[in-house]
Amino acid sequence: MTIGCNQIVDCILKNCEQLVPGIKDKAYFINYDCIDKDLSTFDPDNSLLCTQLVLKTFSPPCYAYCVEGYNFSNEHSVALVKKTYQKVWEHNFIFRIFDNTPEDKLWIQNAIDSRFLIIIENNYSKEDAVEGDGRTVFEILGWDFGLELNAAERNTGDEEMLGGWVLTAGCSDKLKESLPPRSYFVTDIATTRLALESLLAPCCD
Amino acid sequence: MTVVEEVVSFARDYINNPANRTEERKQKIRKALRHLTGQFLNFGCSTCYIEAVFKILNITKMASSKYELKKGVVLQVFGDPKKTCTNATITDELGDWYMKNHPEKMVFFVRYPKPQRPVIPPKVKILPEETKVVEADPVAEAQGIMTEAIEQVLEPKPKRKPAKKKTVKKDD
Repeated sequence: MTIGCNQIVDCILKNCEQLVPGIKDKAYFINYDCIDKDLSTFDPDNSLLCTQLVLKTFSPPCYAYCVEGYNFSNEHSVALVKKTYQKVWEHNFIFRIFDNTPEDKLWIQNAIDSRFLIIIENNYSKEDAVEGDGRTVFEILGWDFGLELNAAERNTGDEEMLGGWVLTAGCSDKLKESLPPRSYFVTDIATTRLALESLLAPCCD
Repeated sequence: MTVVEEVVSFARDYINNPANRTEERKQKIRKALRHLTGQFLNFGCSTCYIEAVFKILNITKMASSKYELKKGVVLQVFGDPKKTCTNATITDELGDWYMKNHPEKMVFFVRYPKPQRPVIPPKVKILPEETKVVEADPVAEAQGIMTEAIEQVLEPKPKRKPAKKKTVKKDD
């Protein structure tokens, strides 16, 4: 009889491929209510691998909205949070807006009042002849509850940001994610990019 | 009717008749453009509005196909990459093919033509209708027995006949 609900069933062998740190400058924000969780699918053997991400058909239409940084200005971190009985996950995403237009401020204010998922693109793309290349590229943050904007800061005297915005998205104080970020991979990397393209808002072009 | 649909409906009139370029319509064009592309219009530029109308028409024109897939859906069939498509690449032929061969994938469509006949997937046979044999339902049977038994137990007693008047015999 085991104490937990799970068991280790596989090995992790040495990875001879060179890891590449960091994520791409473009991230994709999707409103939490737009996700069609009934039609979105996961690998039956691995609930951390999303094989299809479908948006609901609403009016106004649902989209994945791009937020583009500059020169590796986006950061992502994930950490295990140990509670008394359960263990949960904290998803974090720090991004920067190098501008201060009224539209940017409206975007920030809208984000403050909403919950959203974020799709990030890792620089590390693992070649895998068996399972398919590029399964490490895309990840979805905040699948369970969505993320929220936890910090927004603009310091006009900041030498690095030069008066731009630094924003931090993450989980709620109490409700954390049950699992690490889901990998997003549809058959192969080309099809995954095709699927992601079909989610994008027209303003992403 | 959404703002975009409204703009599409008055687009021709807006372009042809300068008199009908009202502030209300301009506001709708600004909203529709913002909604579709995220761009902002210069308030004072009148030709920008016409360009914006054309841009809106071009974006909405894409919805002329019979089929429309939900966002994020990739339809694919194992072993045939030619059948892989998203909303951007689906054609009427592909849509017809999926409708005929994989009607279960209709849940991924936002719009598709209503089939004239019910779609039957391949490898599925419809058997001729058989004459139904009414089998005794054990539950109903048991219920019948119960009600019968209850009726027997609670059977109303036959009404008594009115008692005859006692005749008093006179002693002689």
